[in-house]
Amino acid sequence: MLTPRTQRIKDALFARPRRISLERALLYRESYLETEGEPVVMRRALAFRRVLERHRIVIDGDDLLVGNRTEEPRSGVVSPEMSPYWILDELDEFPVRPQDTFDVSEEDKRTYREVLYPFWAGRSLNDWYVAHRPDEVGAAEKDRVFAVAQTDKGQGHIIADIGEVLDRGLGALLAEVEERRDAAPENDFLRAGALCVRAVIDYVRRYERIVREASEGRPVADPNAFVAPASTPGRARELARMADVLAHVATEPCRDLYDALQLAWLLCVALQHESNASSISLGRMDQYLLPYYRASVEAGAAEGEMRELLQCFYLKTNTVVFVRSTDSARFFAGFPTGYNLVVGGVDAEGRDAANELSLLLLDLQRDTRLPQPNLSVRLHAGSPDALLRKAAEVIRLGDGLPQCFNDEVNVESFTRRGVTLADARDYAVVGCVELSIPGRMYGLHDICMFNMVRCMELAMRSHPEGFEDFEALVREVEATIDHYVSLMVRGCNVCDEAHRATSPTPLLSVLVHDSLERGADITSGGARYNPSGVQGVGTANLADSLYVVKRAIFEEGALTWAQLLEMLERDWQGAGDEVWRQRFINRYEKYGNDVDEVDRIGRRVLTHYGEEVARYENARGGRFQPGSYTVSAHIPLGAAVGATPDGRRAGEQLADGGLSPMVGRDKSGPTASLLSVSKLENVLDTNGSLLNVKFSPSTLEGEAGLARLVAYLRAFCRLKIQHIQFNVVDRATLLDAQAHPENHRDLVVRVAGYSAMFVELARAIQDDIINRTEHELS
Amino acid sequence: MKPIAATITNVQRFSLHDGGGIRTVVFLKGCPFRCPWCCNPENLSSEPEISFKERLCIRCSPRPDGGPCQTRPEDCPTGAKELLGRSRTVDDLLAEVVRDRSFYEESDGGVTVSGGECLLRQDFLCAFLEACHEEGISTAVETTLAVPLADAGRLVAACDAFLVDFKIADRARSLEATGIDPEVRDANVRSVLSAGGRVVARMPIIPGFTDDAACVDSNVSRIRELGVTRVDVLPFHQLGQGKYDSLGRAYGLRDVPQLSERDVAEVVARCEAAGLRTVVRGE
Repeated sequence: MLTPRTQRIKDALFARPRRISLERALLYRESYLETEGEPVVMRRALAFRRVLERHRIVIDGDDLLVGNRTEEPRSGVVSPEMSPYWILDELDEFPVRPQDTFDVSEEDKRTYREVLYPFWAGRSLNDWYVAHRPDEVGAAEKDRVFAVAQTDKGQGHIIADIGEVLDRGLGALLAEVEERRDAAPENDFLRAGALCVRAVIDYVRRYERIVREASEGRPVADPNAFVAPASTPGRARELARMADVLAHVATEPCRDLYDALQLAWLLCVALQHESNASSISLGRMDQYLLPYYRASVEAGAAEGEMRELLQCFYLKTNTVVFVRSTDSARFFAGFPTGYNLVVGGVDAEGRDAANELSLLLLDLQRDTRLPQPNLSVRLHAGSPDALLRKAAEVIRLGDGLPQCFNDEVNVESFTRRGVTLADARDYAVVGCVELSIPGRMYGLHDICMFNMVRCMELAMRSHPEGFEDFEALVREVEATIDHYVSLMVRGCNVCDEAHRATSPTPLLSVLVHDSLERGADITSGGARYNPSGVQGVGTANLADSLYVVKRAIFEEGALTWAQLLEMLERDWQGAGDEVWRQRFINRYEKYGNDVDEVDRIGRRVLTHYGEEVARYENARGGRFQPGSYTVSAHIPLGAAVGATPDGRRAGEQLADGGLSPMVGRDKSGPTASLLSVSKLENVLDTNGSLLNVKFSPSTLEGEAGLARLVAYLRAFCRLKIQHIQFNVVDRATLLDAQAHPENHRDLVVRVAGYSAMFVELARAIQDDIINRTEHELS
Repeated sequence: MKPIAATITNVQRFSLHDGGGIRTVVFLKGCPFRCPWCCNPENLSSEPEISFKERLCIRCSPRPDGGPCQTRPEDCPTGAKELLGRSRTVDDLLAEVVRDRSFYEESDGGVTVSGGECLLRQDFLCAFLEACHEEGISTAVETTLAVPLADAGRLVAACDAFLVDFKIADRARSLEATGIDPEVRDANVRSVLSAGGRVVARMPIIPGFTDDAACVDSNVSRIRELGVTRVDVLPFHQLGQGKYDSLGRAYGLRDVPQLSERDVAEVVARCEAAGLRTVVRGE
């Protein structure tokens, strides 16, 4: 349960409408005006420092941790330095758009139009990208097979080595960076890195000063600070303790849980101030927090006190949302900010690493019941029952957390790509489901989604004469995939270079090995591992469609190629088309029902895609690697594709998740769908893949229900599927929430790789979640 | 030799209340009894039959006179018209049920054969259960156990659990309403137990048939006398109603209300008071 304090903090999160905040953008511009002529990495560092020095700090009347990104929680921070254009286009749309709305004041609109936009137009990341993007890549993007991401926002999708900073302290880190800088005075990155670390130390001290003054009842000297009136009489004492903690962690190694949580959160906030990006994730918190948790226990800290501190931390992760363009918000609806927090798994030697903190971090979801942190649990054959049971208990709450990852396949997936065994065993998750090595990998994990179904459509349309046999058709689909992959990787590489040229992230780089040793920002290849992750989407629709064509045309001769193309072209609107459509849906087996012949087609195409992308190198000397997840992109990606032979109508969504069967087509239960997924070459999807499973709450009731879910998860491990997540909420509740959102403001559901407040999702996504096959007890 | 086959209507994976753990239930067609509340009416006749779900029909070949759809089940585009019952061999069925092995093993589940009355085909049943055992898969049957046993020893060796119905306790009423002779069942329960078999009693609680205190008490004391220690209480539900409609059959219990939680709790209390381990809906 939340305490009265944390309940008040939670309530305040949603008390007011979200707003657009220009504060960071204005400070950034102010700094940029003063740094013309400096190397870009220094300009970024100085602008970052300016934000830390001047942004408005708010100390509320309750919280035990400090660190606010914006004056009001859940404000949308715009970054015109990445792209000023979409913001200008959408200024009037923010409050009324279908997804992720924000209020914006008339004054701010004016400021944006008159001050910010003119400054950044022509000199943003996006300008660099567009100027350097080959024409044929731009043309291919218009074919709607792929769209390169992060061309208008920070890259994010990374895990900094937070644990190391907790252990060493910022002071020691600064000493190291300065030493390296002094040894290589010509290296701009090291200069910028040292400046950033010092800025963070000063930032911590800035909080300390404000909190100290408040605790002593003195006026706060900082002109950009606000201290809310205390909620409780003992607040002065709490503030004094907070000031002590801040004073210590400004430079020194952490001593206990309080130190560790405070410093970890301030690092998170600083990294957001620097990048303003989605999914700068938390990594394996049950591992790096453990010594501090145990130290607190040792020192006699009360259980309730530690739990409340952790609640404060969890709530903090919900104060940050990420404002996206309308288009991007269709792909990533409902603020998947991506404070992904991983527990469980194996250690560097392959032994089980779960501990008492793993269980506690899972259990906290029962208190907070919010979408962040995005809890993930790593499972392996030797995971203890206690961990699985705790995970199952929390899953049963219905918030879609934790999602489960499988060491039995993910570790090997990394070692196959040249990651050392010890590093592979330390994997964690960024954002939604993207697998990454914490503190050692800059993976551009969400750089592009690739619409394989659209490739099939293009292949079919370009051959009105038909194909000699089924093999020829599949080859043509594969050739189309190859063609667009070659263009996609070029687009991704230009985006990669655009970040290097305009938007290095020196603070983040200092916290990612081996940037310091290499003296290079992560955007310039400083990280130990440098993949680029591109998601192949549409396995289920491809398998289903190609299977229908194989059987109906090439084996049964039930209709001609021309007949099929005409029906697809007119979206099943011709006389008698509906009979064919129904036949294609109902009389031919579908992916997700454990039918080898269909599943094999899905496997073949996704494997082909995966092997094809891995042939390409990226701009940092790394390679492309496949993933297969959609987040919420199966809706817009479906909108880009006409009718397909699986009976799907033009514009209808694609299968959700990435690996999930098409909605409503998996009729053989959740064991069969898992087995279908297990037949894919899952080890190839090093960038991560996603499987949604929905259970009715009654299926998981009682001790027997819990045991069932644990068994299901154990089988998932054995089947070497990378990821699984659950929605456990009944249809009636969701329908009622659609009809009466006011009664369900706190309903958290799983979207895809992340959870969101149901009432904050646009109708199409809500419908998608409602329509996913619900596995009932039978 | 011709492989042994039986008429199967359905192989239902991820069944959760039919013998423990995650199970696959195989439904054999054919039953000598006629319980008015039967929730699997498609399994009464041992012959294949056609079911028609009006709401799925898209009138693909409408008759000018508006008469019933003439489409053959194999041509029906939506599955509105379906042929229920397909002859399947032991090997064919085994290949399907072994697919969920990982789930059985992790959940202490397995395969359950139900019906109909699966004991009508004891040759097939034993062969199939033995084949499951050879694959290391745990087995169970759902049965009235009220038909003569051809070879109790063989059956018990092949079957890890017998889920045996205790319905109308009074013999005369039972014979009249359902055709089941409780005395035959009891004798079979004894021989299964004496051959070392495991029996779980199942009591469907049907309004107007088995829900009165006298019936419940009588069943409970019979279960105890026989030496069975565990009972599943199965509250009446209307889930079979749609099947009667699609088979064009009358359903006598239409609109009979579900039991209240209190009614169910009362039955459970009676079972527990008698010292039986009691599970609602089975596990």
